Amino acid sequence: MLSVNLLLGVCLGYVILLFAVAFFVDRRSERRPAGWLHSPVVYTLSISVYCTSWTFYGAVGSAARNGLEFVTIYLGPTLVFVGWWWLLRKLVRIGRAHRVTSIADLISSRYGKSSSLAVLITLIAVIAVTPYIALQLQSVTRSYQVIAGDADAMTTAFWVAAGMALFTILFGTRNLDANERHHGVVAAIALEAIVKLLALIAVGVFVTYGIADGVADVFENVHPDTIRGTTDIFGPRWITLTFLSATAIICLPRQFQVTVVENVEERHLATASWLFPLYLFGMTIFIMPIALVGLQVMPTDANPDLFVLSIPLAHERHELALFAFLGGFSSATSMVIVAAIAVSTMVSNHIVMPMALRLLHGTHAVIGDVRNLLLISRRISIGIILCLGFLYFHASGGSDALAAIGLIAFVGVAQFLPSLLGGIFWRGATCTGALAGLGVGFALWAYTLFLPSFGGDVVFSTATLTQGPWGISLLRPQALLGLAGTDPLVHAVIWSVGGNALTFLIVSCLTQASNLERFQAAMFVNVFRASGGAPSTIATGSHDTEDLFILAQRILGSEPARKLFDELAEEQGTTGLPLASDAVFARLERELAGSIGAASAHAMVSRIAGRETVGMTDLIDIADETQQLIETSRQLSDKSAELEQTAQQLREVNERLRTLDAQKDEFLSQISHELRTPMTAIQSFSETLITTDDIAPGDRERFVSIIHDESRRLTRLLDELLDISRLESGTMELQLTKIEPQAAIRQALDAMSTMPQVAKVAVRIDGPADDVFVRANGDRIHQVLLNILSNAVKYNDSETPEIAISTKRHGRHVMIDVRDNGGGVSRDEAAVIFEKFSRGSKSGRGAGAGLGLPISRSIMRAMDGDLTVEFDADGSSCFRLKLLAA
Amino acid sequence: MPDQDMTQTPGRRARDRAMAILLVGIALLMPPVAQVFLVDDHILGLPIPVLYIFVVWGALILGAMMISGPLKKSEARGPGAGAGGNGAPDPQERPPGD
Repeated sequence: MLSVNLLLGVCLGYVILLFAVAFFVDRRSERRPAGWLHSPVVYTLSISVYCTSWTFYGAVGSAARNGLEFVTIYLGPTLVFVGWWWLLRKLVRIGRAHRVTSIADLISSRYGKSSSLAVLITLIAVIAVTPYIALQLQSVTRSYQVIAGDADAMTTAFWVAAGMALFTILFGTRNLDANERHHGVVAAIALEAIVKLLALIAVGVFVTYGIADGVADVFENVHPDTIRGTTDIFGPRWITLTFLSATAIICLPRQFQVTVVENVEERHLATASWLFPLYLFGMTIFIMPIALVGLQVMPTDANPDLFVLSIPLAHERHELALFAFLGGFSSATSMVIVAAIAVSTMVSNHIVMPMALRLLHGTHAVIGDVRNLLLISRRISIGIILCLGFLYFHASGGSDALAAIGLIAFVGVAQFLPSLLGGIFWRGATCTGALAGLGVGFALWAYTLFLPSFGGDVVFSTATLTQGPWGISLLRPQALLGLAGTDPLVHAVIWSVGGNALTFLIVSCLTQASNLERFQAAMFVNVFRASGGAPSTIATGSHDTEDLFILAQRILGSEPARKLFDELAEEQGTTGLPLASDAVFARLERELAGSIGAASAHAMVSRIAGRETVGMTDLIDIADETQQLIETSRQLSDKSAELEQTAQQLREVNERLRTLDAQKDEFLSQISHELRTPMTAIQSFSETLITTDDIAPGDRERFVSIIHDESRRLTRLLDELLDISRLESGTMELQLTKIEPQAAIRQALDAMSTMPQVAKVAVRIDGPADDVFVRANGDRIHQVLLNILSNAVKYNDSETPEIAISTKRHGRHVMIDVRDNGGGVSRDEAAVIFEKFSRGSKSGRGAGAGLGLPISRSIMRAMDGDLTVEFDADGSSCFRLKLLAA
Repeated sequence: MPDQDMTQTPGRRARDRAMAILLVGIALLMPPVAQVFLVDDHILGLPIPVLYIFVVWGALILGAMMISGPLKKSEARGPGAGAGGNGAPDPQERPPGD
């Protein structure tokens, strides 16, 4: 027989080892916060706190009673971890981004920091975890009894509880980490995880290959019902248990603690996604063989829950039994320690501290006091939780199968699931909905599963259980509303989780979320869009200004923000970033209000000033979104300005078209007028010639000559019109040759010599040497010069008419200026004389159709030159012909 | 996030696989598929239901192991889910004297 003293000595040594590991790691992580301790393997091993003594001892018992069913407890977590990308990753991201300290903290902050929700969740957690802790006490006590024989159960359980409370208090509350991380404890439970895995495998190997003759021998003569269990194995209970275990790996406070809160790096989750299922696989692979061999070799009255320990003992393998005891001890202690830390964090943060702060309100509590208060409240909470566990163990008498107790806790924490999933995937979920759902679920769980679990006459009398309270059979706790014939567990899950989810859904749809709630909902549901990694943990003045600077950059733009901060720093007489002062906050708030409105600016700045509770990265994201909106609206306004401009251009074009249309009408009316005058003359004289027989021969000749003249005038007019239309449409091709302008001028003057007025006019020709040439069409330049010179002669009303023609070269051009002393044209006339059918003020009736100048200008332009009226400083004017020099 | 579609083709595949492995796992481990293997016979000395559950379990672990690498990569690269941190300013945007 294994001696009790040896057992206690080994246990003490093991506990001291755990202390040493936790202490060493805590010290080490204070000095160097990274290293192998932050590896994904340690993270995975810490998650294996899921495998409690319920796994270590209870799984074998479950396999002995219900066959393969025990596997469901490990299949659920396997599925959750294999599908980590869809749920766990989001939880971890939210946990890191919002510095969540517990599952109560996560759910309550999602629903607008509701304190009533936090209190309710904490209460449910305490009540649900209590039986689970009792289960650990029970298993340690029983395993001790197996070895020590006659030890008193209650005394043993009491000392086990006290010892665990001491360990948890020493390491769980040694210091207060801002993120609620406990590196020392995590390292210790990782070590325990290895011990329990090796112990179970060692026992498994011994049983399979030491007692039986290999795997085939173990399963050889097994009755199929031993594997199928008493009921249909792949039935409702199978589904329910898998669902429950999948829920538990997320919702159990201790699992949330190690998976989310203690997570150091998000990428560790990727490794844990297969390593943790592999660990579970390793833990369960020998469960079936141990159970089956135990059923064969152990006496029929032996408790299958203790096969792991009793089989080696029965075969006198004391060192193996001791190892197995340590494995079970490890499973129990790691669970109790982490669960106590997780639940005590919730109790102290959500129940004790708010109450204490309310009581202390008005007194001058300084930071140190609050810190001490927090530590004390944690320690007391841990004590209370273990005390409750002990009391449950005491009350329930320690008679139930281990598995049943664990499942009660599972269903209890499963009540968190609807609010949790709804909170992180559905923005419409409201706080009232979560409260109602949790309340209904909790009440139904207590009524259908928790209270009946005490059994006997502790809470419900036997009569109440079998016939319903006051004999109302519809209210029977295990056949509510007549839903009989199902397994009590399945029944409880259907009622509590179903009722919870439906109530949550319906009430959420019927109620309104507060503003803070809506904001938090957006932050949680869109966590991957919103935050990148965890916010920095350093909280100093310069850090604040850095945040302010980032915020200002996002909203004001990079350069204006830099200017503003330089200015602020200068005011403070510092370089770099200014220190965070009220003046800085006020100034920035004013600046930001210009971009995003006063309310948002106030909310954001006061958040950085430490007066609000929303994550910094989230605010910056709001700023980003605002910036995007501003950008979009700017683009829209650009687009609309562009449209405005196009419309303006269209209006202008339309206006020009109208003017052109009017000009065309005028042109037509003028042209018909011009054509009509000679036509009328021709018509009337020809009529006279036809109708009158006795016309004097002199008159007859005169009439015919008038008709002839007028016909020629008509022809000339039509020629001119044809010319101008061809010139203006650009269809007239002019052959340009090298021409001497002086010669062209003289030619034109010669052609004019027949005009009667020319004799009186003095013509003066100035010009450079004869070597100046222009590119022009000889006939056309003659036509233009003739037109200009004859105008100068015709409209000159001076007593001694003079014409001065000067030619000079100007760069690439040659200018021919024609000046006369007849007063020239006024500036007003200059604007219109090139219009068709316009005549100068001096032209009398019948002096021409008024097409000479427009045609001349068109000709000049067709020869790449121009015809303009130039004014001198004294107001006198001249016609200037401009041509390209040859 | 206009660049999402350009960078996530490998990531999207990894994510599709993550969803597929989860759904296949649930389908294989739950009735009615699991009931098909509820046969009173032995293979390699093991009862078929036990063998079936553990083989599926092992396959899930292997599958998860194979996709965890690509998923981790896609997360490090993914624009929305990047670990780069939207909250931190770019180095060149840091204020002077920082």
